[in-house]
Amino acid sequence: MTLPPAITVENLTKIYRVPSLRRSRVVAVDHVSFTVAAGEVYGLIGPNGSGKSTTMKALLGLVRPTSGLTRIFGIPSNRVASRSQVGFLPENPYFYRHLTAAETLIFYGRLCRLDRRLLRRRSEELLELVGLEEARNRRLAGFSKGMLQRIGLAQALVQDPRLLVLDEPTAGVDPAGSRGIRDLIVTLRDRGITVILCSHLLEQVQEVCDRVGIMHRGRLVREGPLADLVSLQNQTEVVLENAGPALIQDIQDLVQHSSGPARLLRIGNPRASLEEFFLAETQRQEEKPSHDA
Amino acid sequence: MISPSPQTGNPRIQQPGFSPVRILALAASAFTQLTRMKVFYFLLVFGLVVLGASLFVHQITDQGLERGFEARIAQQLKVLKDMSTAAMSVFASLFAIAATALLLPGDAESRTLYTILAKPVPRHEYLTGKYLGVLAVIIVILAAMSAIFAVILALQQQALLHKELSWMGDPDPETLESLHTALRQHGLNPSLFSAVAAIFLKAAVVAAVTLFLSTFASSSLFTMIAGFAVFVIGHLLPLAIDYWTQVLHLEGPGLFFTGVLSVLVPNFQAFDIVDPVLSGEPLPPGLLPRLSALAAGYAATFLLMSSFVFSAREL
Repeated sequence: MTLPPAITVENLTKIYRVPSLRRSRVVAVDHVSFTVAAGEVYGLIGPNGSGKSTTMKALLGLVRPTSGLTRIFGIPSNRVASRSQVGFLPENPYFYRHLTAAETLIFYGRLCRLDRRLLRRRSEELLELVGLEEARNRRLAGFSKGMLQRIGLAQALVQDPRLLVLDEPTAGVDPAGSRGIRDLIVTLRDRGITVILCSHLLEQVQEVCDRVGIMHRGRLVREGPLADLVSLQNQTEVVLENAGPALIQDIQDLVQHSSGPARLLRIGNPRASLEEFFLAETQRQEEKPSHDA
Repeated sequence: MISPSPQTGNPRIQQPGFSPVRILALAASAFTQLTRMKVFYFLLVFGLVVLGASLFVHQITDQGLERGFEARIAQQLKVLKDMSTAAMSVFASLFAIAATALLLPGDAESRTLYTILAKPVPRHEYLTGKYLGVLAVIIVILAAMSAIFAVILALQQQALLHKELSWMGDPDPETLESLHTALRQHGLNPSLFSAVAAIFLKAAVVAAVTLFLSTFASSSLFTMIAGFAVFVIGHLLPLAIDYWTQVLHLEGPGLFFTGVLSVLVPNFQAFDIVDPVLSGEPLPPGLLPRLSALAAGYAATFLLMSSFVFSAREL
């Protein structure tokens, strides 16, 4: 028996009626179809207003499609049961400010009918996972944006879901926290958890996603495995370490004297991303002995 | 790196269905939210009202010597009971409107609603949980107000007893028994708690109506204003209907409109049973169960309508 895809979106269309004298309509999502297999990390990218959030809301049963349908593990999204195996982190999440971090996780766990005793242990593990164990008894009213994002991720994971829906999960998070979230997504994928990720940070999407869909003005304009979409099929990359000038010259000569149409486009030192440089530098400073010591 | 897999094993959840656990979690969250919003400042104001009323009792105590002690006691304690129960009724209903209006629109505005409804939570359970949370806070507030009221009323009874005894000198046993009976009848007695129960029932209906309004309102402020308007109309409507039907003798569309209004807007006056209680008269038997049934009917109807509207709402 074949397992149903984690996500099925079939011909999804969502039209919002704008209350006005002219009864105008806004087509937020226009005949979008895609599937996400169980265990995949899928990136949904597109400019603001392209329909990503509406697609996610339809998937989670928060809005009703004008036409088409969405399913989670084969269960239509309009059924509450479809959300049993889903964890959702919305963009800029906002939780009850009067609850502490631990109370927040217990609240969301109780909504999933988790046993109170198990839940207490689970919340401790999750607080440790997202680096908030020191803030477990602090009310969310005093949390920074990055901390809210992390507690949001923990609540999304509270019932150990099979599907994680993340909308801009690293918004407002510092580079180290952002890297932590990316590492976590990779770990979740390795455990077989399906992740659908909406992000404006394309580098982040590129690092973790197996497949991506690009939305523009409500339509899914491109979709497929990331490697197929971004690789330049007629170019080949060779990266050498400790290559001296003589070897570089030999390679240049070899290409020049080859009989085919190949030509050398560039030779130079590859650059680390600013993020890699930043993380390495802050790590070095952390490890340096303090002058006061 | 810590594994996201819990050592506790995978706590896979059951199919949703109806879940008292979820409703209780939502009710407890609403209760905590409201109590941490310092709503109990209401009680401070109420305490001041009751203390003010009891000072007023002392001022008029010496003004009725020419009348019998029973009339004096009735008049003096009535002032305290009048002001206290009126304050309880107004505070409970206003609290019901304000608290309910803050919950759903607040969650929608802050998008906390997304994270809750993205869990396996049916929308009717969300509404029921929030409603029960508001009712729990109203019960706590009314219990605290009743306790303050009962203590001050009992102290006033004692003060009146001593004052009357000092005027009487050495009363015969029959007069003394009559004095105690008058104090029991007009002071702290179970009928007063029936009046408090009626105040709770009215606040419960007010909260249900406000919850219904919040399912299609765009903001907490609009919900509060609309809730207050329905609260006022619900008190005036029985009088207006009497006037329209008995004085103006409305017929046809006018009568139909009156009928529609009387179905849509709850009759809040039906819950005002305080007057006979304050006069020391016993409550008609079966009145409180009838009022409870009426309140349950209103609450169930408005919760059902709320669920219907909220289920269709786009978030």
